[in-house]
Amino acid sequence: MIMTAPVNLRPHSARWLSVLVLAALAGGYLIAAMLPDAGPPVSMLLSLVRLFGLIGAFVLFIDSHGQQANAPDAMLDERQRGERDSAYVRSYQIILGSLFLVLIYTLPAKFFGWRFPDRDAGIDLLSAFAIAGLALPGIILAWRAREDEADLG
Amino acid sequence: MVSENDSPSLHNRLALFRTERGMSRKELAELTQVNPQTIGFLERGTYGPSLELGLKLAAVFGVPVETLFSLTPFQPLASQLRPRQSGDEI
Repeated sequence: MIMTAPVNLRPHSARWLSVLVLAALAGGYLIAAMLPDAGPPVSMLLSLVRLFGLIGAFVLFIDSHGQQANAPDAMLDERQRGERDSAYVRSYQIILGSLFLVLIYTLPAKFFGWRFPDRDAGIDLLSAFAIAGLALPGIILAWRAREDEADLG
Repeated sequence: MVSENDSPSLHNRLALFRTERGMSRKELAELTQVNPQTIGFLERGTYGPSLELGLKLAAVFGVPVETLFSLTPFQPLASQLRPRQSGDEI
């Protein structure tokens, strides 16, 4: 019942990385969506931030917390299955809640002529949600993990 | 963390039995087919086991499940021994 993962971050390291990844995703994709006419230097900077967010999310995905979040039932004991399921429920609530916030924004935005995402910005937003959704269950498990138990598997 | 199966009303003497047998958490985890971290969660009382896991743990120590788990707090060993010792003296 001890899983081996390609990356084994300690809980506090995974938490720090998760904060940076979520900030990079929010900054890189949302700012890009809000500034479609940004000049080359800003676009380049935002691309680098997005790349960091993508790589960081992938690291969190293959980290032991991410692996626990995506492991089949047979690989986990009853407590780990409960934690995994709970992390998925919370991820679902966060992603769906965020999507609804965007949806709620678009309704008056269309009516009052506020900034409305074009096709490219829409793809950026979808990418941010997809990448965040990929890493979120593992991030939640990392935030709930106990530091003193990390060495026990 | 507080597990979803957090059960503050369930008390156990898992750590006592395990240390008495000179067993590590890892060894107990292997015998009951759970992750070693789960033994830590059980011992701290931050996770309430399923009936199946409770029975497995009791079987490892060869005791009835109610010897290991209780809905009321267990009396400390010292307080259980004290009356008997004072009774012996009388």
